Amino acid sequence: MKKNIFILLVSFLSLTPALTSAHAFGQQYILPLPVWLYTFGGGAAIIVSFLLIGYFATQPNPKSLQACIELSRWKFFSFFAKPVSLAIFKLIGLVLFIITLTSGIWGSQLPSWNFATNFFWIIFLLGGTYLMALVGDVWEVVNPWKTIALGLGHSKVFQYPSRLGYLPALAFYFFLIWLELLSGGTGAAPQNLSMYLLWYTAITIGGSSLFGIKDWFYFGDVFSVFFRLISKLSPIAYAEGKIKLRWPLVGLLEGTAEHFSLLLFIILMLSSTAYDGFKETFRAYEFISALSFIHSYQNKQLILFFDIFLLFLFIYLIAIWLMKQIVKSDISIKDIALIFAFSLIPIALAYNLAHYFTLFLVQGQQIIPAISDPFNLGWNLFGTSQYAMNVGIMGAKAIWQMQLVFILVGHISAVYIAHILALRTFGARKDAVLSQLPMLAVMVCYTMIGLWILAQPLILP
Amino acid sequence: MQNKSIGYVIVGLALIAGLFALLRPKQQDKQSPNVIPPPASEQVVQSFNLVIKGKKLISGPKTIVLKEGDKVKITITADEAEEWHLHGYDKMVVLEKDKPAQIAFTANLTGRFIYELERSSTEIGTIEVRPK
Repeated sequence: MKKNIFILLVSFLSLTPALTSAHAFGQQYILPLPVWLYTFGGGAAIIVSFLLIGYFATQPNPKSLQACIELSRWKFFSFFAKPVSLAIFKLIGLVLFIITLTSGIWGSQLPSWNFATNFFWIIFLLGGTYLMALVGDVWEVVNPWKTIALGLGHSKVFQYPSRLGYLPALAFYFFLIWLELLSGGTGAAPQNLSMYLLWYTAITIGGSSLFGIKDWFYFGDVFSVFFRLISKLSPIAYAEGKIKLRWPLVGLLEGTAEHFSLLLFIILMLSSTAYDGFKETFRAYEFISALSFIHSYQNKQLILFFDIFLLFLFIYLIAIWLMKQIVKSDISIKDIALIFAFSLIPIALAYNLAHYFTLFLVQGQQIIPAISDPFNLGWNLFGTSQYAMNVGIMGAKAIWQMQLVFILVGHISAVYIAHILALRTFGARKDAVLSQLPMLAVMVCYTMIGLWILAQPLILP
Repeated sequence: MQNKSIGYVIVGLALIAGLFALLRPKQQDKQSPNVIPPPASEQVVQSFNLVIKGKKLISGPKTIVLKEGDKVKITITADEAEEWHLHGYDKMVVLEKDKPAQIAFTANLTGRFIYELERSSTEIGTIEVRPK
């Protein structure tokens, strides 16, 4: 008994600073979704899902998905594909990278004021995601690490071992999330951020000179993998120096996840956002309190994080297994799981938008004063150093509506893509449509989890 | 074929709109147009009393729930010299030891705002402003 009280005391003591630091950078002023809106969202998701099933049951051949328009025929667009323009974009990427590195070291050490922390976590990671979803994989061009690697020249000592797949990128992705959400504010400290970026630079340059630039940036660079997945949603694609306009989402139908680690990467995209939303709710607090046998607050968080990751993976694999039973397919469970992996990307982006878009709009404004004085020397380069953040840029009502729309559109897109993939894999038979019920259940499940988290009462400080 | 897809979209939109109308909470003020809201100056001011001891709230609501446009007056008493800071609204009150300090404002921003003791950055409670 005494021991229990001691553990409670210790866990409580270790809890308080962690909760405080969680709010130190990038506060969200979001109210939980009202219950009626949550119910409506869930109902709408189910209605739409069954309508889509009905649609595919009667019209099994979606045509003309390959249609695209070459934008670079026009002068305005071809300008962006010119070598000179590409060189300018690369230079911009490199300059921003250098400013981020140096301002993290020498700038203000307040995370919410510093240029590096605001630029990296908000503008680059969140804004970059939204940009790639709109205009395609421009990271491929501006990636400063790639520019540096190209500048150092091509070299290749070993052939990249293909059985590793995306494991390096997956490991870096987990580390990135650890810095962001699990480290108790380590990643929010500007000097730490710069230090980690320097380490990452060394590893990336090392990796690309060992295994070749092409393979390393394809399998090893977490940002390249992340943005490549997101840009599959974009209506704009780049190929052989040409800019093409296509239907949005069709990028998800090109190729499949070729390695199980890429599926894990996508599940991590979903589950990490879900974790971030969930961790500030009462339910998470209850869960964490129940883990009284573990002392450190960070380990409790880590357990919660992995539980959510495994839950998302488990739901997905169960559905894949059911699907195989229904169709009696010869394809292995692993292969079916890989075939449908990309259909989860729209939900991953929807989660991200529903959870982080207001943070991007509000905390993102801090980049305006920060860019005028990146080194905290009292400069006013662009005359904006006195800019004050407008917190009321979006009211609670508008935020709720936006969250609902993002989640629903993500849901519809995912169901749509999963159906096309099913028709392609199992043929257009009637029972192939039936085989989609488990997949539909997964999508409804993920959508409901997303909405449920948004509707949870939040923890008090 | 094209007509069929359009049909599905229309049925879908109709069902969703129906569900929305069904679930939407009734808005009282819109249903009774005879009731004229009191002019701003006569609006009731909501008062709250917060007592902070040992960096913890010992009296007063941990979550102050307001409606957009409400006028609010908060009295804060702390057992040490501190600064009371409300995030988002960025309101600041200097607190002297055991001396009640007051702040009054209109809740124009909707959302969930945390208030803290600024000097020790201890989060004490939240103010929730619900939309109209």
